[in-house]
Amino acid sequence: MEYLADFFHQFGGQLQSPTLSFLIGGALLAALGSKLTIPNPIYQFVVFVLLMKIGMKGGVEIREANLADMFLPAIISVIVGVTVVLLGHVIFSKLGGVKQADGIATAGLFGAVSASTMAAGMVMLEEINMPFEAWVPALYPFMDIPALVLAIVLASVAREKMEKGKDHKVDTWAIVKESLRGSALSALILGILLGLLARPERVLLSFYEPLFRGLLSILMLVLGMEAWSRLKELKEVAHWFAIYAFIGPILHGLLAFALGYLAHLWVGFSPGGVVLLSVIAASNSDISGPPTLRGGIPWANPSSYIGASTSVGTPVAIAICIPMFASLAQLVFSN
Amino acid sequence: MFHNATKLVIVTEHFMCKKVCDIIEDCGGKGYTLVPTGGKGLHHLHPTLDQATVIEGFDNLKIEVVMSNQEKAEQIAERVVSECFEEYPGVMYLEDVRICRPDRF
Repeated sequence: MEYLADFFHQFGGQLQSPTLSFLIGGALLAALGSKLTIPNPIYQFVVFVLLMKIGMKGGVEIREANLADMFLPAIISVIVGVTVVLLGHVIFSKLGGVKQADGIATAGLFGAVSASTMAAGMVMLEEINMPFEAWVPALYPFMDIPALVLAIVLASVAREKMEKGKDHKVDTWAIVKESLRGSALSALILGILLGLLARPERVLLSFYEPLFRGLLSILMLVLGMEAWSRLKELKEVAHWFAIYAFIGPILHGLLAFALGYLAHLWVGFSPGGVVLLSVIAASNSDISGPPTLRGGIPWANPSSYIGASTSVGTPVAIAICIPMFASLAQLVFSN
Repeated sequence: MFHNATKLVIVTEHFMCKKVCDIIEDCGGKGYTLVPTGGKGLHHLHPTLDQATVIEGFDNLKIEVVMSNQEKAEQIAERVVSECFEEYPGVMYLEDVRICRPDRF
């Protein structure tokens, strides 16, 4: 019981962090019909700076890291990405009133990764002084790309079965290229390469680092506003999407937490690394995943998967999953 | 100084832009104009750029192509409908315009 009280105490404390309060503030503004808008170019700039900073910092530290340590967590990331999609596909196929393609696309988006949720998770870990390996953000594509590819393949195979004779070939390489070219992954990979191959420390410390938290708060505000404004779209599709979007991130994060814990026992994966891996698993793609799915599964209704992800999935991943996994780690790893 | 020509206007989602522009070039279009846009469609409001669209590629673009040959403009329109608009949203219309320097269209 004492453990449980401890857990809820930590959980409550983390709900007051600036990251979450800006998210809630954004949703509140939209709910009250505020005329405040954040222009799109500013949002794109914010995402760029955040991902460049995460990438460069990772790249700089990867230079000195032992990359063999990354092997098992990378395999776990692929397993989680694939499992989330398969699990989601099975769950949605058993629910009434859900079109198969909509279910698969939603599962694909929840298997994919959100850069903003990952950034929020990193700030939370810094706030509670829980260190993690610098290469953990580089696990992003290992989970993101297999999930999107699998979702598009599953949806295409299902359509082929329904419309016998019609050929729906899936160009896997095109999906991988599309994912890598998305703005979030492009900035992250460029940052990692610059950190690895160049010496960007001075610009990283003088420009990117000091801006990080402030810009993240703006991003959270935008996500809060977006979450509220997309609720209307979600209301127009089956209520199962909202239920899945609420429970899914928690389940997916717990699955990654369990596998990450095994990696902790086997190869010494750090507790902070386990939490960040769980946050990556709990997150659902909000920037680059939707256009990849839109291109790959055009017959799925974007209102279902985007509404589920941005209105419910992302707020749950940020507001519930991040503090929950951090508290869980403090509980599990302190014993 | 001015000559009669046909302007084809296509409003669609950003990530369809490349496909539409490829069709235009394939049908002999020598150039086109891209304008970021937004507004209300049959289903919902498409935000303009003064508001962040969290999701990439779902913002709307207006693609304008002027053709001195109306048949070619209609050929582009037919291909856009059959190759893009069966599964993706879009609006398209033709306008009569007056142009100078017809050799450029």
